[in-house]
Amino acid sequence: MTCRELFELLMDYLEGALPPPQVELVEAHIADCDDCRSYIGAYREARDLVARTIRAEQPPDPPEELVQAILESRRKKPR
Amino acid sequence: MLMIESSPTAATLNVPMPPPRHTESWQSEDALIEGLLAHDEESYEVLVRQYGGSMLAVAQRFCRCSDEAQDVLQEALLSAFRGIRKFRRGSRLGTWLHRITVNAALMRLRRGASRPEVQIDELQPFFDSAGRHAGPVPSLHPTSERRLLEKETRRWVRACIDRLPQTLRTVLILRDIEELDTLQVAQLLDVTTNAVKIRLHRARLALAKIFSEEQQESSSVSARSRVA
Ligand SMILES: [Zn+2]
Repeated sequence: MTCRELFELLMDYLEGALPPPQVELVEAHIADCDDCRSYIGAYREARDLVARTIRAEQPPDPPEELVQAILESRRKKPR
Repeated sequence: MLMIESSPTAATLNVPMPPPRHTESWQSEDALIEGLLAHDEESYEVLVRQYGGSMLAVAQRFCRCSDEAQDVLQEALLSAFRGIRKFRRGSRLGTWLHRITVNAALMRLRRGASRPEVQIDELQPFFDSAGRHAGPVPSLHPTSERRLLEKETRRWVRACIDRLPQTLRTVLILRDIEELDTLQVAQLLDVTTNAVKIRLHRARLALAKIFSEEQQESSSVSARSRVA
Protein backbone atom coordinates (compact mmCIF):
# COMPACT_ATOMS: atom_id res chain seq x y z
CA MET A 1 0.00 0.00 0.00
CA THR A 2 1.30 3.46 -0.88
CA CYS A 3 0.75 6.63 1.18
CA ARG A 4 -1.67 7.84 -1.51
CA GLU A 5 -3.70 4.63 -1.27
CA LEU A 6 -3.77 4.94 2.49
CA PHE A 7 -5.12 8.48 2.30
CA GLU A 8 -7.85 7.33 -0.05
CA LEU A 9 -9.05 4.99 2.71
CA LEU A 10 -8.26 7.29 5.63
CA MET A 11 -11.70 8.83 6.09
CA ASP A 12 -13.40 5.44 6.26
CA TYR A 13 -10.61 4.06 8.43
CA LEU A 14 -10.94 6.86 10.99
CA GLU A 15 -14.71 6.46 10.98
CA GLY A 16 -14.39 2.74 11.62
CA ALA A 17 -16.17 2.06 8.34
CA LEU A 18 -13.43 -0.04 6.75
CA PRO A 19 -13.70 -3.86 6.44
CA PRO A 20 -11.18 -5.75 8.64
CA PRO A 21 -8.81 -6.91 5.86
CA GLN A 22 -8.32 -3.31 4.75
CA VAL A 23 -7.91 -2.15 8.35
CA GLU A 24 -4.98 -4.57 8.63
CA LEU A 25 -3.35 -3.16 5.51
CA VAL A 26 -3.83 0.42 6.71
CA GLU A 27 -2.41 -0.31 10.15
CA ALA A 28 0.55 -2.19 8.73
CA HIS A 29 1.38 0.84 6.56
CA ILE A 30 0.99 3.28 9.46
CA ALA A 31 3.27 1.17 11.66
CA ASP A 32 5.87 1.29 8.93
CA CYS A 33 5.61 4.88 7.61
CA ASP A 34 6.78 7.89 9.63
CA ASP A 35 5.16 10.38 7.25
CA CYS A 36 1.69 8.86 7.46
CA ARG A 37 2.00 8.45 11.24
CA SER A 38 2.95 12.09 11.60
CA TYR A 39 0.15 13.26 9.28
CA ILE A 40 -2.52 11.22 11.04
CA GLY A 41 -1.19 12.30 14.43
CA ALA A 42 -1.48 15.94 13.34
CA TYR A 43 -5.00 15.29 12.06
CA ARG A 44 -6.10 13.87 15.42
CA GLU A 45 -4.29 16.57 17.35
CA ALA A 46 -5.91 19.29 15.21
CA ARG A 47 -9.37 17.86 15.89
CA ASP A 48 -8.69 17.60 19.64
CA LEU A 49 -7.16 21.07 19.82
CA VAL A 50 -10.33 22.60 18.37
CA ALA A 51 -12.45 20.68 20.85
CA ARG A 52 -10.47 21.58 23.92
CA THR A 53 -10.01 25.26 23.11
CA ILE A 54 -12.95 26.62 21.13
CA ARG A 55 -15.60 24.16 22.24
CA ALA A 56 -14.61 24.47 25.89
CA GLU A 57 -14.79 28.26 25.83
CA GLN A 58 -16.89 30.03 28.47
CA PRO A 59 -19.67 32.05 26.84
CA PRO A 60 -19.14 35.82 26.97
CA ASP A 61 -21.53 38.26 28.59
CA PRO A 62 -23.30 40.19 25.85
CA PRO A 63 -22.52 43.91 26.27
CA GLU A 64 -25.23 45.76 28.18
CA GLU A 65 -25.85 48.22 25.31
CA LEU A 66 -26.50 45.27 23.03
CA VAL A 67 -28.96 43.72 25.47
CA GLN A 68 -30.81 47.04 25.71
CA ALA A 69 -30.74 47.53 21.92
CA ILE A 70 -32.24 44.08 21.35
CA LEU A 71 -35.02 44.62 23.89
CA GLU A 72 -35.67 48.05 22.43
CA SER A 73 -35.96 46.80 18.86
CA ARG A 74 -38.36 44.09 20.02
CA ARG A 75 -40.62 46.73 21.54
CA LYS A 76 -40.63 48.70 18.31
CA LYS A 77 -41.48 45.76 16.09
CA PRO A 78 -45.02 44.51 15.69
CA ARG A 79 -45.54 41.09 17.23
CA MET B 1 -30.40 43.64 43.55
CA LEU B 2 -32.91 40.94 44.22
CA MET B 3 -36.54 41.97 44.74
CA ILE B 4 -38.73 39.43 46.42
CA GLU B 5 -42.41 39.96 45.88
CA SER B 6 -44.91 38.43 48.18
CA SER B 7 -48.27 37.89 46.65
CA PRO B 8 -50.66 36.67 49.34
CA THR B 9 -53.71 37.60 47.30
CA ALA B 10 -52.74 35.42 44.39
CA ALA B 11 -51.97 32.53 46.72
CA THR B 12 -55.25 32.71 48.59
CA LEU B 13 -57.25 33.05 45.37
CA ASN B 14 -55.42 29.99 44.04
CA VAL B 15 -54.50 31.65 40.75
CA PRO B 16 -51.33 30.46 39.03
CA MET B 17 -48.27 32.30 40.23
CA PRO B 18 -46.76 34.61 37.67
CA PRO B 19 -43.18 33.84 36.61
CA PRO B 20 -40.56 35.22 39.00
CA ARG B 21 -40.47 38.99 38.70
CA HIS B 22 -36.75 39.37 39.13
CA THR B 23 -34.36 38.94 36.27
CA GLU B 24 -31.31 38.14 38.36
CA SER B 25 -32.27 34.59 39.06
CA TRP B 26 -32.52 31.67 36.70
CA GLN B 27 -36.04 30.83 35.66
CA SER B 28 -37.41 27.44 34.87
CA GLU B 29 -37.86 26.90 31.16
CA ASP B 30 -41.60 26.33 31.46
CA ALA B 31 -42.18 29.56 33.35
CA LEU B 32 -40.04 31.44 30.89
CA ILE B 33 -41.91 30.07 27.88
CA GLU B 34 -45.26 30.91 29.50
CA GLY B 35 -44.01 34.45 30.01
CA LEU B 36 -42.85 34.78 26.42
CA LEU B 37 -46.14 33.47 25.08
CA ALA B 38 -47.92 36.04 27.23
CA HIS B 39 -45.64 38.79 25.82
CA ASP B 40 -44.35 39.49 29.30
CA GLU B 41 -41.72 42.19 29.01
CA GLU B 42 -39.48 40.80 31.72
CA SER B 43 -39.50 37.32 30.23
CA TYR B 44 -37.92 38.71 27.09
CA GLU B 45 -35.19 40.21 29.19
CA VAL B 46 -34.70 36.99 31.13
CA LEU B 47 -34.35 35.09 27.86
CA VAL B 48 -31.73 37.53 26.59
CA ARG B 49 -29.77 37.42 29.84
CA GLN B 50 -30.04 33.70 30.38
CA TYR B 51 -29.27 32.52 26.86
CA GLY B 52 -27.67 35.53 25.15
CA GLY B 53 -24.14 34.64 26.23
CA SER B 54 -24.16 31.13 24.79
CA MET B 55 -25.87 32.39 21.65
CA LEU B 56 -23.25 35.12 21.23
CA ALA B 57 -20.50 32.51 21.63
CA VAL B 58 -22.01 30.55 18.71
CA ALA B 59 -22.29 33.70 16.59
CA GLN B 60 -18.65 34.60 17.33
CA ARG B 61 -17.46 31.20 16.16
CA PHE B 62 -19.06 31.73 12.75
CA CYS B 63 -18.44 35.44 12.27
CA ARG B 64 -15.02 36.88 11.77
CA CYS B 65 -15.77 40.20 13.43
CA SER B 66 -17.51 41.03 16.67
CA ASP B 67 -19.97 43.55 15.18
CA GLU B 68 -21.21 40.89 12.84
CA ALA B 69 -21.56 38.42 15.70
CA GLN B 70 -23.62 40.95 17.64
CA ASP B 71 -25.90 41.46 14.64
CA VAL B 72 -26.36 37.71 14.40
CA LEU B 73 -27.27 37.53 18.09
CA GLN B 74 -29.83 40.28 17.60
CA GLU B 75 -31.34 38.62 14.53
CA ALA B 76 -31.48 35.27 16.31
CA LEU B 77 -33.14 36.66 19.43
CA LEU B 78 -35.70 38.67 17.48
CA SER B 79 -36.56 35.63 15.43
CA ALA B 80 -36.88 33.57 18.63
CA PHE B 81 -39.26 36.18 20.07
CA ARG B 82 -41.34 36.11 16.90
CA GLY B 83 -41.29 32.34 16.62
CA ILE B 84 -41.81 31.30 20.25
CA ARG B 85 -45.15 29.73 19.31
CA LYS B 86 -43.29 27.32 17.06
CA PHE B 87 -41.23 26.06 19.98
CA ARG B 88 -42.20 22.46 20.67
CA ARG B 89 -42.90 21.78 24.34
CA GLY B 90 -40.82 18.96 25.69
CA SER B 91 -37.73 19.92 23.71
CA ARG B 92 -35.00 22.03 25.27
CA LEU B 93 -35.20 25.77 24.89
CA GLY B 94 -31.40 25.97 24.74
CA THR B 95 -31.28 23.51 21.83
CA TRP B 96 -33.96 25.44 19.95
CA LEU B 97 -32.14 28.75 20.47
CA HIS B 98 -28.87 27.14 19.39
CA ARG B 99 -30.43 26.08 16.09
CA ILE B 100 -31.91 29.54 15.54
CA THR B 101 -28.49 31.12 16.15
CA VAL B 102 -26.76 28.69 13.80
CA ASN B 103 -29.35 29.49 11.11
CA ALA B 104 -28.94 33.23 11.58
CA ALA B 105 -25.15 32.88 11.38
CA LEU B 106 -25.31 30.76 8.22
CA MET B 107 -27.63 33.26 6.62
CA ARG B 108 -25.19 36.02 7.47
CA LEU B 109 -22.28 34.08 5.98
CA ARG B 110 -24.22 33.50 2.76
CA ARG B 111 -25.02 37.20 2.49
CA GLY B 112 -21.45 38.25 3.25
CA ALA B 113 -18.95 39.24 0.60
CA SER B 114 -16.79 36.37 -0.59
CA ARG B 115 -13.23 36.53 0.61
CA PRO B 116 -10.05 35.63 -1.22
CA GLU B 117 -9.34 32.05 -0.27
CA VAL B 118 -6.54 29.55 -0.38
CA GLN B 119 -7.18 26.79 -2.88
CA ILE B 120 -8.51 23.70 -1.10
CA ASP B 121 -5.95 21.51 -2.88
CA GLU B 122 -3.04 23.39 -1.38
CA LEU B 123 -4.17 22.31 2.04
CA GLN B 124 -4.63 18.65 1.13
CA PRO B 125 -1.92 15.96 1.08
CA PHE B 126 0.35 15.82 -2.01
CA PHE B 127 1.90 12.64 -3.41
CA ASP B 128 4.68 11.95 -5.86
CA SER B 129 4.36 9.58 -8.80
CA ALA B 130 5.30 6.65 -6.57
CA GLY B 131 2.41 7.51 -4.22
CA ARG B 132 4.65 8.76 -1.41
CA HIS B 133 4.12 12.04 0.43
CA ALA B 134 5.57 14.96 -1.48
CA GLY B 135 6.25 18.24 0.29
CA PRO B 136 6.27 18.83 4.04
CA VAL B 137 4.20 16.42 6.12
CA PRO B 138 2.30 18.06 8.99
CA SER B 139 3.52 17.28 12.45
CA LEU B 140 2.03 18.80 15.57
CA HIS B 141 3.61 18.88 18.97
CA PRO B 142 0.79 18.49 21.46
CA THR B 143 2.74 20.13 24.28
CA SER B 144 3.67 23.34 22.51
CA GLU B 145 0.35 25.03 23.14
CA ARG B 146 0.89 24.74 26.91
CA ARG B 147 3.52 27.41 26.64
CA LEU B 148 0.81 29.79 25.57
CA LEU B 149 -1.94 31.19 27.74
CA GLU B 150 -5.37 29.72 27.27
CA LYS B 151 -6.65 32.91 25.71
CA GLU B 152 -3.74 33.16 23.29
CA THR B 153 -4.16 29.54 22.28
CA ARG B 154 -7.80 30.14 21.56
CA ARG B 155 -6.99 33.17 19.44
CA TRP B 156 -4.36 31.19 17.58
CA VAL B 157 -6.75 28.28 16.94
CA ARG B 158 -9.43 30.69 15.72
CA ALA B 159 -7.00 32.37 13.35
CA CYS B 160 -6.04 28.97 11.93
CA ILE B 161 -9.71 28.00 11.45
CA ASP B 162 -10.26 31.33 9.68
CA ARG B 163 -7.66 30.35 7.09
CA LEU B 164 -9.86 27.47 5.94
CA PRO B 165 -11.84 27.92 2.73
CA GLN B 166 -15.40 28.87 3.66
CA THR B 167 -17.12 25.59 2.69
CA LEU B 168 -14.71 23.59 4.85
CA ARG B 169 -14.74 26.10 7.68
CA THR B 170 -18.53 26.05 7.97
CA VAL B 171 -18.70 22.25 8.13
CA LEU B 172 -15.86 22.09 10.67
CA ILE B 173 -17.62 24.57 12.94
CA LEU B 174 -20.98 22.83 12.63
CA ARG B 175 -19.60 19.33 13.25
CA ASP B 176 -16.54 19.70 15.48
CA ILE B 177 -17.52 22.78 17.47
CA GLU B 178 -21.30 23.06 17.47
CA GLU B 179 -21.51 19.26 17.54
CA LEU B 180 -24.41 18.88 15.13
CA ASP B 181 -24.59 15.42 13.55
CA THR B 182 -23.88 14.68 9.91
CA LEU B 183 -27.55 14.53 8.93
CA GLN B 184 -28.38 17.83 10.65
CA VAL B 185 -25.49 19.55 8.86
CA ALA B 186 -26.51 18.03 5.52
CA GLN B 187 -30.03 19.39 5.96
CA LEU B 188 -28.83 22.83 7.02
CA LEU B 189 -26.48 23.16 4.04
CA ASP B 190 -28.72 21.28 1.62
CA VAL B 191 -26.02 18.81 0.62
CA THR B 192 -25.70 15.01 0.93
CA THR B 193 -24.44 13.39 4.14
CA ASN B 194 -21.51 12.06 2.14
CA ALA B 195 -20.57 15.58 1.08
CA VAL B 196 -20.61 16.61 4.76
CA LYS B 197 -18.30 13.71 5.69
CA ILE B 198 -15.88 14.52 2.89
CA ARG B 199 -15.81 18.24 3.70
CA LEU B 200 -15.24 17.54 7.38
CA HIS B 201 -12.40 15.16 6.58
CA ARG B 202 -10.82 17.71 4.22
CA ALA B 203 -11.26 20.46 6.78
CA ARG B 204 -9.42 18.44 9.42
CA LEU B 205 -6.65 17.52 6.97
CA ALA B 206 -6.32 21.17 6.02
CA LEU B 207 -6.33 22.29 9.63
CA ALA B 208 -3.59 19.80 10.48
CA LYS B 209 -1.51 21.42 7.76
CA ILE B 210 -2.33 24.97 8.86
CA PHE B 211 -1.61 24.28 12.55
CA SER B 212 1.64 22.59 11.64
CA GLU B 213 2.76 25.46 9.38
CA GLU B 214 1.84 28.07 11.99
CA GLN B 215 3.58 26.14 14.74
CA GLN B 216 6.78 25.87 12.71
CA GLU B 217 6.51 29.54 11.79
CA SER B 218 6.14 30.64 15.43
CA SER B 219 8.92 28.36 16.68
CA SER B 220 11.30 29.74 14.04
CA VAL B 221 10.27 33.27 15.04
CA SER B 222 11.01 32.56 18.70
CA ALA B 223 14.30 30.86 17.75
CA ARG B 224 15.25 33.97 15.76
CA SER B 225 14.33 36.24 18.64
CA ARG B 226 16.43 34.15 21.03
CA VAL B 227 19.40 34.56 18.70
CA ALA B 228 18.83 38.30 18.35
ZN1 LIG C 1 2.76 6.43 4.23
